[in-house]
Amino acid sequence: MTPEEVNGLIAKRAAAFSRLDAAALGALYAENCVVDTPAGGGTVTGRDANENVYRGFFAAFPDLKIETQQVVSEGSHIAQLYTAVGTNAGGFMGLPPTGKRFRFNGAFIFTVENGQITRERRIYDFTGVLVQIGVLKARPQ
Amino acid sequence: MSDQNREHVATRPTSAMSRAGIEALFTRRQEAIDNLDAAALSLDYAEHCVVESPVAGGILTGRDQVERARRAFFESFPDLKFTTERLLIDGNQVVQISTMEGTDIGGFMGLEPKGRSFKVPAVFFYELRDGLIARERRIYDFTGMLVQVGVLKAKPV
Repeated sequence: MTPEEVNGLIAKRAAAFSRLDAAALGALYAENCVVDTPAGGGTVTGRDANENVYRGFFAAFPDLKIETQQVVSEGSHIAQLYTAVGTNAGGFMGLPPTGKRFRFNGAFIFTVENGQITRERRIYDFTGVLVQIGVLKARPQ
Repeated sequence: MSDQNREHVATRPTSAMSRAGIEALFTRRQEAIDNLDAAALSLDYAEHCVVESPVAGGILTGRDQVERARRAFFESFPDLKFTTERLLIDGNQVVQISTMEGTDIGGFMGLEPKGRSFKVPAVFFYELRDGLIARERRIYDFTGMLVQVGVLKAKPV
């Protein structure tokens, strides 16, 4: 990908995230995409399943903000370091809302083919986020 | 410092690194990780580097702090296995997509060894300057790792 193509894709994602627009985000993926999403329950396959994961996040965290810190790309691969902040205002993983806030740095690693995201991995302190939003309780063992 | 490490410093380029130079740097770093050689790894950092490390509780500043934290990590997990799946090189920025695994044989975070293993995907973002790592940010499920090795116990609220 050219730097312009990378920047264009990152800008489209940023605009969609700022509107919590699951359909616009979903449309950037290939129909048979594979996405590793800890918060989405593991690996999801297909554009519709991925879009549903976004829809679930946005319902759980309606004030979600994703701020890009760094973008590194080579060939068809892009790594995006971001900061996410939000509040568990909608309830997550089938549980009632806790009203607790979270903040973390995470990485989106994705592969783009023919202008569409075919593979994405979301890596971050997922267990730490569950503790922050009050879904898990952690104590020294 | 060993003779090998002296050479390591002497051959360091002073300006922007080529792609081949960056690949060589990370090949050498992999060998140093395989040998649990914290001293050799620390030579790749700028003296005033900044490293964001969940294990160290936030931010490490300076080559010496980075080396001390890494030495402690290697002592905790002497069977540490670090596998790089892909290296993205983009000018002076490098991203290392990897898997880290190991066993708490030496005791972690000041606790007695628990003998339990962890395995997590991890992403490291590097910014290079004059052939040295000026900034590094490490992203992985650190809390999940603490649960896996038994430092933390997690349960649904």
